[in-house]
Amino acid sequence: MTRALYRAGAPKTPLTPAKMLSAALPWIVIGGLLWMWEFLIGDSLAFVLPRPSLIVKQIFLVFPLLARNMGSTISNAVFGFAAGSAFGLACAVAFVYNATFAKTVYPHTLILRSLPLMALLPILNGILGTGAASKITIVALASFFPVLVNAVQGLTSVSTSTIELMHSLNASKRNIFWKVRLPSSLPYLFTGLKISASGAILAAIISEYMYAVKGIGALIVTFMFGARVLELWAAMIVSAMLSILFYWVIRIIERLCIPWGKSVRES
Amino acid sequence: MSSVVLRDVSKSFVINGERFQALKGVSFEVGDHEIVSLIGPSGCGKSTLLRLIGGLLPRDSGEISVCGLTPGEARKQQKYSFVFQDAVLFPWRSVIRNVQLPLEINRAAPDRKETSRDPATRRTARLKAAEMLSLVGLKGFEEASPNQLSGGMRHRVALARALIMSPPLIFMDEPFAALDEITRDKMNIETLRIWSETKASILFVTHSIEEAVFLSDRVLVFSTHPGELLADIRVELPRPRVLELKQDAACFKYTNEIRQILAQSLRRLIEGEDTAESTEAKASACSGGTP
Repeated sequence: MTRALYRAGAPKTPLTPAKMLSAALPWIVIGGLLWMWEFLIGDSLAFVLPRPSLIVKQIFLVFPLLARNMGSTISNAVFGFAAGSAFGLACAVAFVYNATFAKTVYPHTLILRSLPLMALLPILNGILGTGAASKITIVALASFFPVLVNAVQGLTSVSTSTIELMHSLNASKRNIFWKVRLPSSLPYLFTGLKISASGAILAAIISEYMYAVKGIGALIVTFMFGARVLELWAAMIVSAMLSILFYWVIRIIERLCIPWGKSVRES
Repeated sequence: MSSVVLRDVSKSFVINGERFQALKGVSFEVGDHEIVSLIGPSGCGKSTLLRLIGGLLPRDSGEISVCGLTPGEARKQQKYSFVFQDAVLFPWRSVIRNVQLPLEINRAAPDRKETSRDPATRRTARLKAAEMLSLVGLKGFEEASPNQLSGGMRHRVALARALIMSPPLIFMDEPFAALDEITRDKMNIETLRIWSETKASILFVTHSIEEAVFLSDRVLVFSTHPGELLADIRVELPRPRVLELKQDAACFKYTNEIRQILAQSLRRLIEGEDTAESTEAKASACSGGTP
């Protein structure tokens, strides 16, 4: 009976007007801003800030073109994200288990995070060619660091008494990794993955700024130099939506992988 | 045969380049099916002592035997289990799978033929875990998540996990220190009931004099800086023990005695620091009382 109670969560309180207002507030704010943009700014700044209604119309007009270019951007983002995250997690495990390696290499991983991706583009194109490989590498570089840092944090978040318990149970290093460290790192790992996922589309777009014939990045460059402001805004909004979508996909996977919830309560 | 024998065990730590004597010349024995409490001021090395006996920390000198084995060997054969102040339950495992954990780990050990994946061993492991849960009074909570349980219930799960390998020895390191007094009383009674249904000996570290007297056959009183055994007090109270005993004059007799020993040792320690700062003075001040 206690269990049923817990499963149902907090008892539902009736919807009061105050609650409805607080739920609606974000939408009221964004609606208000859009309204001001549409009617107060209007056409006065059309060369940089075209009216929202025109942008929405433009999205529909330009969508077939964007859709044709979306494929390569998304695939570069997904593969780069997967590679960068896998490498980040692998490095985190290596750092946690090898103190010398961690001491010598971990501080320098910050360099990878600090490099301007735009400047890396010509270099990577020179090394890996102008195909997908260089673009995937850019995304991987951007995804690597958030996953690494969070995974290290997660893998070392295990309490002393947990380790002592495992030792007292005669557990091997392998047991401790699979049964304790990895599962307790998941909430942290997913924080890193969500940061990386939301940045992966952006990194993929940046990677298409040069030497690319297709992709949303290439389109944005074309629109930029053609001063096609409306199309630029449309491309911007569609890529933002892609980023948010990617974030949500990871978030849903997180919910499935961590059914015990993010807050690991200690008694 | 005594389940635990300690002979002249010492342990020191180096903290910030300074040597700190945690335990000095500790000797005692724990008999079969006996509850022995270790009590003393914080920092007296009680928890350290438990970890030495459990083979989680190496000792500097002296001899420790657990069920006739070295601490490390006793751990390999799972002759003992630990219960900590924190219940240490894994939220990604259901209650019953938390209890099964020791079986899983020790079945997977290379010297055993069965594996934890074999359906028959799985079934027996589950049955055993369910049996332990009903022993600690948590029947019906097998599939619950640890996060849904109260503090007292979480400690019952930890107890069930400690019992599943049927170890002859259970080490409890301030297990109920974080619980409220009412829950604590309840857990004391439960511990005694479970103990009487098993053949295990319990080595119990606590800060509470009353708890130590109530549970134990013997109370070992420790001093601090360095941790030395001051007294070994046999508690001659009838079993089974009921909560009313905590209010009984017979119980007060023991708690008063222990309180006096602790106060005396504290007084000597303070006087020793006042009169002379020399190490000899400190050593003589701390050596009062014989085991």
